[in-house]
Amino acid sequence: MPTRKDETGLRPLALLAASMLVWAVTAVISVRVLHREPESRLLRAAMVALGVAGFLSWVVAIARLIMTQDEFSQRIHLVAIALTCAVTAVLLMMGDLLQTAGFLGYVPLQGIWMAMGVIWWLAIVVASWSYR
Amino acid sequence: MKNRLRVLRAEFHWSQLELAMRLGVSRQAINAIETGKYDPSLPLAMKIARLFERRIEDIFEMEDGD
Repeated sequence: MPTRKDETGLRPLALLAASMLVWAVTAVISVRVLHREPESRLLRAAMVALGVAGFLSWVVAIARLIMTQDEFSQRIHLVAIALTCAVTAVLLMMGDLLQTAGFLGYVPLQGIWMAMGVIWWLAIVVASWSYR
Repeated sequence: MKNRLRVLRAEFHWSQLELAMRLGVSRQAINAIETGKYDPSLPLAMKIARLFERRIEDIFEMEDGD
């Protein structure tokens, strides 16, 4: 019976590339429509759902890519994801307190997940280094 | 956990990369196991034991505190 481990070679990378394309297309469509501020609540809700679904396809592709790797690489990713969650939580709490204290202005939500992406990349480097 | 992976690999004249390919894991995984930074799962430990035709306990040994 085939498992995720059998998905070697280019297939996971092709899925990742396809999911990134889906994410980009759905993001552009949803943002463009939402910027026009349509009257219909249903349309706005549908655009939010479309944007989230596109992003989820990338998340699923990343998860599948990780599942095709060996157990040690999976451990590195597990540690990196845990580190990312912890650091992001600390930064969010610190940002909240800094805003309350008047030291920090408005921070767009988009900036938070972009920062999370950078933290994730750094966490992979740190996790890999810690096992050397 | 202590292990004799490096010694056994040397006996078989295999590089880390060669052993990694035979086990279907990355070279980094072999390095992490040899340096004691990472303990393999039971299936991987059994694969290693089978490859070297040894028992698991001949390759891996518990240490105080494990």
